[in-house]
Amino acid sequence: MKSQFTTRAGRRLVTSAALLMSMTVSMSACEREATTVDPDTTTVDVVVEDPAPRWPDEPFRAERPTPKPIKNVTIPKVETFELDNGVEVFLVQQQTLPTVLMYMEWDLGEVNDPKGKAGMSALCGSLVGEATKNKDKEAFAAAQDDHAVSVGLRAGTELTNLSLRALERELGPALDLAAEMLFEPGMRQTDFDRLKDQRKAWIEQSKGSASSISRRIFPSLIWGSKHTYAKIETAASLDKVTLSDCESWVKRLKPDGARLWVVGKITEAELRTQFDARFGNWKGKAPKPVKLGTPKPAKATIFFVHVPNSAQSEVLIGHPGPARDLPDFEATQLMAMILGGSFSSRINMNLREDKGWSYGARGGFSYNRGGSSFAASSSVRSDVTGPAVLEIAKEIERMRSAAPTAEELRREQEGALLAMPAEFATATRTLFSMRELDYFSLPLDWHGGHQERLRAVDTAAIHAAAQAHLQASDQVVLVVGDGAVVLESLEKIAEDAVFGGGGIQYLDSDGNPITRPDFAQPDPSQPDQPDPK
Amino acid sequence: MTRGRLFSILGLGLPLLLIAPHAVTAGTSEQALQHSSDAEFEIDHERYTLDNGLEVILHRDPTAPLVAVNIWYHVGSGDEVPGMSGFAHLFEHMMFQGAKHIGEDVHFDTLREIGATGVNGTTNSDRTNYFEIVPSHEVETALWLESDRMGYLLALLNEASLENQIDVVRNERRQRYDNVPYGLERFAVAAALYPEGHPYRYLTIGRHEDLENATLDDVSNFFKRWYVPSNATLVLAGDFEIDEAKALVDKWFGSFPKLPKPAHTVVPAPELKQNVRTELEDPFARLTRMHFVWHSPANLAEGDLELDVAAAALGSGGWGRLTKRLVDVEKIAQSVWVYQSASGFSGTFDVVVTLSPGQPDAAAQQAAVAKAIQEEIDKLVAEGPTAKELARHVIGIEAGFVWGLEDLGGRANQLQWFNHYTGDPGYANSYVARIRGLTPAAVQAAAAKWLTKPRAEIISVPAPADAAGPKSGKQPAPKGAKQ
Repeated sequence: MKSQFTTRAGRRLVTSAALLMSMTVSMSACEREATTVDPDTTTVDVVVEDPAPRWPDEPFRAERPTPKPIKNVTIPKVETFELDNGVEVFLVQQQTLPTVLMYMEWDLGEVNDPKGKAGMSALCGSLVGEATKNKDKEAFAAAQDDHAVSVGLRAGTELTNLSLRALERELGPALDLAAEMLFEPGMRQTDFDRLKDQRKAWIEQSKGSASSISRRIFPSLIWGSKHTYAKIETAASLDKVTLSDCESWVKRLKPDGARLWVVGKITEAELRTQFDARFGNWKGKAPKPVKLGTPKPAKATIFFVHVPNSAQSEVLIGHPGPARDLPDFEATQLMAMILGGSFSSRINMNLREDKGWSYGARGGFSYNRGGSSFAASSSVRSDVTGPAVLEIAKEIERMRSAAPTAEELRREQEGALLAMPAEFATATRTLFSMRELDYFSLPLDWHGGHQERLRAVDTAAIHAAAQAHLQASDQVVLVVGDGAVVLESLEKIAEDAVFGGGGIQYLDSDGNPITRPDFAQPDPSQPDQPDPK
Repeated sequence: MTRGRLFSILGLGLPLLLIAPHAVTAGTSEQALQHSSDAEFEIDHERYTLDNGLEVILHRDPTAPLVAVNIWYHVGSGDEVPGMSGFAHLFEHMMFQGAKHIGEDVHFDTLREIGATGVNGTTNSDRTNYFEIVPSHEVETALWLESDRMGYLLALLNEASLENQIDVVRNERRQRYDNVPYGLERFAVAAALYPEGHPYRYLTIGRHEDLENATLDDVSNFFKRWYVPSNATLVLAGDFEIDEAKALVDKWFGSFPKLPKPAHTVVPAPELKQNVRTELEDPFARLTRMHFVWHSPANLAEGDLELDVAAAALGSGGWGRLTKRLVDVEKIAQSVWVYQSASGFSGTFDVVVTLSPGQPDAAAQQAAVAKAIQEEIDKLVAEGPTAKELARHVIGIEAGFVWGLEDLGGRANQLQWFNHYTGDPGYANSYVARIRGLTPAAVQAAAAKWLTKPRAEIISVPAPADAAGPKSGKQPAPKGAKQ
């Protein structure tokens, strides 16, 4: 195969080899004088004998190109107005595509679930989106697909959203279906029972693997089990929810105080006309945001969940973080990028590119209205679980102990500034960006100041942010993996009190404390299972 | 006004980065997307080929000061030879490790510093792609990076870097296949359908032992054979002047040598002689899953689009026949997922049913699901879809096209996709015309041709819940895991 390649390449080399020769004439004049071979012959020899294709080596390739002058960006216009029934509208028009996307948003979500009924709003939301009085599940789905539109209702942590997606010409039918869903939801006992059973089954499924277990229980460790962000939905909590809970729940979806986010080929006047025709008689006060408590994280402890035969361990180190509206938000943002936010971050370069222990590792703050949480995490090969925990801790400590390099600052600072236009590349992205600002009660012109504050960050500010917002000790550490492989090293880390003196706490897959499980040691004589035939 | 807002109309003429306005408001990009009305789906573009064979497709849209740079190399895991499973993807990783002029490990750093977004590469059975969206004033830096790894990758190739990426890719396999529910099932499906020696047998991710055995020579040979200019297509989409873009492409790629375009060995799917059945214990699944799969036509081949309709008729939420029957009426399944998945050589038609837990008789439940699948397929083969089912599918595809046009990166990829599979980046209108021309009879005929053949049945059952027993689901993957 190799010789075949040589021949083909060799035959085609006349042009490029000749080019190379002409380019090197002046540089190799001395050498040519020293050689006894006729230059013309040399050229021919190269063509015949050199198997490698000649790639040009122009000097300009050695230097990163100089960028052109930077272009200006103006964020697409956001129109805000209020409907008669108190719905606050945010509209980003675009005229290029015949599409309309809408979200009606309420301050209602999992945080409102009554004690012991975690999962109630999510279940009720899915029930409302399932069917209407006049259209069962099949008919409701078919009615949407007949027009290639989708309408739905989904309850998240703090917000419930009615969503609508339609081509411009199908907006009427889509709004009809949305109004029907909201005002005449199906609320059938059979649908309710089935949806509840399905949720319970997915919860059961999520207890089977390391990554889903860690996602499910980590928030309760960071925020403390009593916090409104820490509710863990279980079969038992779902069993307490009744159809009448959902009937009451849907009645809370009222207009006055709801936000309507719209992006698409539609004007304010058109939107008002379309809405009034269907939602004009809709009245009432929407729910107010609930008060959120302060986090009381489980401290100074390694938490461990055993999942036999895990090929990797999920490793998370975290703690509560700062509020979104602090003045050092930008310094904190850049600090988190350097630590674990970008591909080039320290944690990723260490665990992935240096050690080869992971497919990727990251760290950063995730913000909610009630505050933020910091988490550094990775899926790591089981046999290096303990060392990986220590390496992540080391990177956090290194971030706290000294300012970053000027190069790290430049990369993330320039990167963040120059990446900003991408956030407004489309009308839809602009709308999402604005929606996030509104969620945090930040002004919609926030990006102007943000830009200035980003520019002002220096390495000292980043160092200060690290010291202020990364905890040196008493972090929450969660590891989910195969105890037979990983526990020895974790117990040593707990004994050494690397994260404080709280020791190690074993949890079941629902996050409940248990005593140390008895692990079978892996049996080295057991042959690997062959690929299934 | 409920939350004390201080403004009623907010005209955000907010300048970012510099001052003069470039308002993304009505009309500025109509030029670029004028075809995206209901009747016309084509994305404006110009295609040309450099002397060395590199294909270039330009799509201009100055709406935002961004350029999507997207290169497809027409090589994928379907071109792998036995013993080298996973190599095309491992090679993709090596393309981020550095090249002669840009230096080692600088790809992500450089792109981050210039504000690039959506930076990545992906590999499937047919192609390997590399892409980033950069601010338009920095497009040349992206071309510098892309041209350097196309021309000069091998200069910095070294053992440490390869060893590291072998570890990283094996971690990727652990994370996405070996440590998740139904990861085993994916390998079992391929093993049942493709015999030893077929490049689809070990999936694009490949086998641990093959990855471990990859050498620097392998990387070098693969690069020289497949990563030649004549086997690549570069798409630039976004804010540039056409002439300027052409000059830049010429500067960075034009002097590359003309090398032979490598030939692909087409490996058609074998036929199953009879139904095959694999039962496996899944260590991480808590719900039984039944995966029935048939060989089916290649991407865009006759029958491919027809089987998409068959899949929609069976598996759509709410009205899909099989979904409705198993999830909503009989209530013995959690979810039903039906899809026609087509690759370059051949495709698969898949019916994936996750069973509801807590049924008194597991064997009876499985039998009922198998019966439902068989009956609903038989019915489709006998009668075809209804006109309404077909119409829903057609309008859904059309709408999907329109929605896909907003994102610049999506448009770049769409051009590449059509170009790769049809040779015509502007195939969108033909594609939609084909979809609109589908008839219930044609769908019925495709179902009759493909779904009456033998199939593979992969049944994943949860491994016994014995937390202490390594026997319960011995990990198949970490053979040769580095200790």
